[in-house]
Amino acid sequence: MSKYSPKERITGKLVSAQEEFLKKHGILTGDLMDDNLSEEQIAGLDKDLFGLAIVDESEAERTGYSNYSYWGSTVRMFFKNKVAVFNLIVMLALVLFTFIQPHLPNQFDPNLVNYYDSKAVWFQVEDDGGYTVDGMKRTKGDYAVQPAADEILAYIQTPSSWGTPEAFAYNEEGEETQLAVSADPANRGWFYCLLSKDAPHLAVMSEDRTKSTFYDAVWLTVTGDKNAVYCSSVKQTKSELIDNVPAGKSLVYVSAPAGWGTPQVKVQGALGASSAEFIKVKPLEGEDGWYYGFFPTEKNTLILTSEDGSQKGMNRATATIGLPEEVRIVKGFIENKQPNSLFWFGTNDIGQDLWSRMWSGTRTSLFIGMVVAAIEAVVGILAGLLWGYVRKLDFLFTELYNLIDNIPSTIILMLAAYVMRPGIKTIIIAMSITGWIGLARFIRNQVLIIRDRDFNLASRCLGTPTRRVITRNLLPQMVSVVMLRMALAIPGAIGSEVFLAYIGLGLPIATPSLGNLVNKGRTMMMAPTLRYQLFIPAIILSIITICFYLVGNAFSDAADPKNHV
Amino acid sequence: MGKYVLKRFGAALLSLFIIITLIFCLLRLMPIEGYLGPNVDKLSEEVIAAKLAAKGLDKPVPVQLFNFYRNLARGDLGKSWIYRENVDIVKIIKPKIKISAKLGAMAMALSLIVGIPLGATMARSKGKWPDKLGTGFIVFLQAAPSAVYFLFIQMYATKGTGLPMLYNDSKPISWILPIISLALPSIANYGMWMRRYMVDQMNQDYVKLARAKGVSNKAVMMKHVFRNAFVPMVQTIPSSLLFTIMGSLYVESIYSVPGMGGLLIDVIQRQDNTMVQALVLIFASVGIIGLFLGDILMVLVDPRISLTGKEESR
Repeated sequence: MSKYSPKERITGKLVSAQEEFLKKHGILTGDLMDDNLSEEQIAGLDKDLFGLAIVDESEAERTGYSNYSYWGSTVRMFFKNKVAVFNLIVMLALVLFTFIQPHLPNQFDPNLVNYYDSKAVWFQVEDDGGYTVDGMKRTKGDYAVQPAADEILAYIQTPSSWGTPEAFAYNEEGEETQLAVSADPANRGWFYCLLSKDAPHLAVMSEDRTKSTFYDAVWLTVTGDKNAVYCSSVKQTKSELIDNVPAGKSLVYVSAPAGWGTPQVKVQGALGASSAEFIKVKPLEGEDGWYYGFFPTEKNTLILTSEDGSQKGMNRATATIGLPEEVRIVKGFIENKQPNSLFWFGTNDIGQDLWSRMWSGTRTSLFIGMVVAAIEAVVGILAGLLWGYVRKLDFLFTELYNLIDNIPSTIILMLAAYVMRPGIKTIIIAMSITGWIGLARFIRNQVLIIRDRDFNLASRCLGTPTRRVITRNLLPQMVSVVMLRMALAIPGAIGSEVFLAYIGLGLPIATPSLGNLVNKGRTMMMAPTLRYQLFIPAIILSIITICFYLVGNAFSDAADPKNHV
Repeated sequence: MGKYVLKRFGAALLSLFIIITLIFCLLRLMPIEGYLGPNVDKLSEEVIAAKLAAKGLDKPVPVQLFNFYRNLARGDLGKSWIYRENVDIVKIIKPKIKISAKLGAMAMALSLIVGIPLGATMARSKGKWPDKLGTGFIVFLQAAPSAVYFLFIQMYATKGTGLPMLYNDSKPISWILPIISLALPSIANYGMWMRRYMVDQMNQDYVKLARAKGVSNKAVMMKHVFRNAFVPMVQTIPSSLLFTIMGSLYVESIYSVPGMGGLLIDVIQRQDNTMVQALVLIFASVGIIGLFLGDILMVLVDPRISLTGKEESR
């Protein structure tokens, strides 16, 4: 049998293929249409060219009809829409992630109330000596040592340039004790030491003692535009501290904007302006713009003016040199924490981790949405087909529709909530009781349109059973619209879940859902620092809705055969 | 036509009867404790019996139902039980309906004025940037939870423009934000459907014919496409207008508008049965009347549609 199809044999394709073949092998130099081929040229020709042309019926069939496939075209059309494909990917990633999330390491239980640790503190030091200290458990596993009743376990994290840090504790009288610091074997980069509750002021120093979280000095800076004065005990100069501080005096570093000249520093004590005196500042060697001076420790209100007195610092700085910050055990739950490295989306007002609540809620909402959509699809399609196809049932269904459509769904929901415990099941049942009728009516209208078309008439005349007419003739025509309704039913169900939470009929707090997360966040709206509790669920909810909406729309466009090219 | 109206009227009465009866019976399934106030445990049995008798709850359900219909036939909706004890329901609802309908009607006018031209513009420039911009706007409005963006409108608009934050019936300037909030979702809705219907019409043969005849683009759009696309929109307008009396739960609670929004939910939760029955009766009637008026309006706008034909085209 020839390897060339009849179509190729009929069209010029065959000839040109041969021409190419011959030219490639150097047999042919001129035009194939020249009839005067030499002997060896003839010998080089493909034998198939001269074989019997056998007609294969199935092959002929294939070339005679288009190779149109409905689903193939639908998918191809869908993938032409780049926005929809992008949304589909986002949607799939989101759905997938909600199911993966609980199995990732270091996830909190969504309902776990996180308490500040009552025995330990975590002390994180940055390279410039700034630090944060709180009771959020940042290390993994159990404590390296169990602190005694009058001790606090302090975990210390320093930048790697600090080496093994040294820790000093001070009591209220300012007596210094060095603490034994050891590295935590289970957590790289963390060190721990035991702190007595009698001496709870903690300072950390680097291994070479050049960097510390606490110095016997203050650094004053003046910003250029508003002349605001900032006071800090974080070391800002590079050189070592001036060590010949006179007794009863404290060291102050001052940095002023370029136009100020040598800043004038006036100090005053608790008595106010009557005790005011100027102190002399000297430029700091090797550091541009920095000056240092000594002020009497008891007079700690500093007022800065420029050299000629024309510029004045906006605010007074209270420079206190006392003890390092007291390390305190914070009691209670970790409430309303902004998003941080431990709680990625922050915590809510009872200390639950919003990140895991978020995904657990998304999971719940998606589950509700999908189940409701599936029930609506099955019941709605069945009822809609009966409603449209069986004329005797039309009156019954129409009255039922009027009924269900006019009874406020809230009443049905309230009753469902009384009969059953509030929960996912109740919400799904309550939504499905009323939801299917909308799709049923939609299907019914479609059936009415298609039912009496000629091809159905023909089927009926041929005696095709009704079931077969419905499943073979009617249903495939409605695939695109039904799919669209399904895609929209999922965000719709999520939306009504939000509404239910709003009116107080939603899921209990122990079952996080997008509805009760948004609702909870809404109550935090008035505090600007807590708005993240509203933003995060609202954004996720919007992303889900937009994705389903756009993908559903694009798919229904693609599934419409009118759009197939 | 007259016969058709009569038939529809009869069917409407029947539906109303079934709905009310059903609601009445469903409400009787609610737990008894809900009617007695917060201190149920401390009440003696005599007090409970007396309280139930005062509300007529001691009689069997059919008798209660009969009494209800007898009063209804006299035009008496009854008195509220719990929401505002022993106040005529009509008295409670009347000022609330006025406020909700006023705001709702203005919001609807706004959304029609903005939404229809928006949809028409999008359809005319299909695939170009006004269409894409409009689609983005519509998708955002439909996707973002309205409870959330209403809050943002209230917060940032009052900060930015100095408009009052709460509704005040005597100061029309405080109506602006609630009206805009009410209008936004329906602007998106009208815009979306207007665009879809117009695009559907633009692919029809008669439009091609009109173009082939040399009718200008503007005339094709206004006289042919727009008019035909507007017909399905018309059907929903009366019912949306009538349903404005239901108010909006979100908007009214954010701006403390003393309207109807949330009233039904509130009285259901408080088991104020007479109020629930009255409200369901009103809303169901409004729904049925709205559907009917929509059908009539559709006939007026499109003479080709006949309601009395063999199959009602909906």
